[in-house]
Amino acid sequence: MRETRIQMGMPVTIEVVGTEDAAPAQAVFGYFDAVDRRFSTYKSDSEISAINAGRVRPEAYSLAMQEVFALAEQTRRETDGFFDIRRPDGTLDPSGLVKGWAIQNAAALLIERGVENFFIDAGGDIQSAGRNSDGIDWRVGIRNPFDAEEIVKIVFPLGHGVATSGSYVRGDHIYDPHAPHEVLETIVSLTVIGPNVLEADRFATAAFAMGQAGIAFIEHLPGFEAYAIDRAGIATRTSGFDRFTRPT
Amino acid sequence: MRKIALSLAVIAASGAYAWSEAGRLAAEDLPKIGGQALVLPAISGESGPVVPVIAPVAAPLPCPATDVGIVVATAQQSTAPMPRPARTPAPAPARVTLAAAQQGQYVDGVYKGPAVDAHYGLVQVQATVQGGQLVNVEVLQYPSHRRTSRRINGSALPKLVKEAIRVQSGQVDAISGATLTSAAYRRSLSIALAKANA
Repeated sequence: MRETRIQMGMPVTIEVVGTEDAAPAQAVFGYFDAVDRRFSTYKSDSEISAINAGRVRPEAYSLAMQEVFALAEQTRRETDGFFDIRRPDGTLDPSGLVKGWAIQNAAALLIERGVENFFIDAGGDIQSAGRNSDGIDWRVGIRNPFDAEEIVKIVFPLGHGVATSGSYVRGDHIYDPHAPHEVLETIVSLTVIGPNVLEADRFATAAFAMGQAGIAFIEHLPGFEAYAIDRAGIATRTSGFDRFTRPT
Repeated sequence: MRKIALSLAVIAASGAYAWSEAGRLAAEDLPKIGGQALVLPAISGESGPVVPVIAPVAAPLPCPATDVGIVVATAQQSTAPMPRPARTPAPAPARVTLAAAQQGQYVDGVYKGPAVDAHYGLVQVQATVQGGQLVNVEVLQYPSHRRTSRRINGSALPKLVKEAIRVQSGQVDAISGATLTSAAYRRSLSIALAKANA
C-alpha cells in the first residue's frame, strides 16, 4: 500500500510493499502528527514554541526535545558551527534535524512491526529498506532545482538515507550562521546519501550552509556521498557517489 | 595544437595541486572549471571531523548490505539536453592555462594527460570536453603509497567530479529535492491548513 498525507507542512509518503494493510503506515502518520505537535515552530502551543517563549525550564524539557537538542549540539560541533539551531534572534529552530530524526524513528517503528520492504518520504528526505513492489532496488530521483517537474539524477540508495537541502528564501532555517545576513545562492541543491536518513539530514543541512565548500566537506566525511547543483546548472559529486547510481 | 595546449593546461593544473602545502590552496592557484574555483574548507584535525555513532531511542536500522563490487550499469540515464538557466559570466581567470577551455575552442572528447611526477608520486588527470567546453576533470592517478602524500591528498587534491545536469526520463519510486520555492510552499501550506482548521 502507498499513501501520501500533508504533515509537518510537507507531503509525507509511505509505501509498504506486499500488503494492503494500512495499520503500519497509520502508526507512522500518527507518530509524525505527534512530532509536529511538539516541534512545529508554526504552532503557538507546541513545546518548541513554549520553550522559545521562555515558558519551559530546561529540566522540564521532554525526553524527545532533549534528544533533539543533544543531537543538534553534537552536529554543531562536528560541522564547526555551520549547523546551528539557534536563529539570529536567539530562538531555537530544530527543524533542520527533526525531519531526519523523525523519519529515522518512523522507519524503526516499521521494522519493529516486521515490515521489510518500505520507504518513508517526508518532504524529500527518504529512508528506504528492501525492494519495491517489482522486486527491484528502490529508485530515488533528484529533483531539478530549476523545474519541479523534472528529475536530473536517479539514485539507488540501497538502504542508505537520502536528504536534500535546497535554496531557501532568506529568513527560513538555512543560512550561514557565521554570516547570517549573506544570501547563500551559489549552491541551490545539495543531496546527501548517508548511513541513514538522520545522518544524511543533519549533514545535508550543514553542508548546504557551507555553500561551495559543502561538497568538499562531504567528500572528506567517511560513509557519505553527495551531489550538489549550482545556480548555473553544474553538478559536483563526491568521488564515491557513483556507487549509488546503479542498481545491484 | 589545441589538444597539446589542453594537455599542458591539465598538467599545469595537476602540478598546482601536487605542489601545494598540506592544507588549503589559495583560490588563485586553482584551475577554474566552468568558471568556479574548487575551494576546500579548512578542516579541523588532519583526518577531518569524527563521525559519531548515533543511537536513536528506538531500535536502530539494520546495516545495509555493503556490496561495493563493480556492477554492470543497467539503468539508462538519458542525455537529452535540457534548457539551461542563464549562466553567470565566468570571472577573469588568474592563470591563462584553462581560460581557452571556457571559450569553447576545444574539440569534444576525453583527453588523458600523462602521468606527471609530482614529487610525492605520480599525478594523472583526464579531461572531458563537451560542446567545446571543459566539463569534467577526473583524477586517474594520485600519490597514495606514502604517508606524506596521503595526508596531502586528504586535504588538497580534489576528486570531485562535475557535470552539467541533464533531465532523466527513467521511472523512480520517490523524489528528493528542494525547489527554489520550497520555503514559500511550506509557509503557504501551513497557513492554508490553519485556515482549513478554523
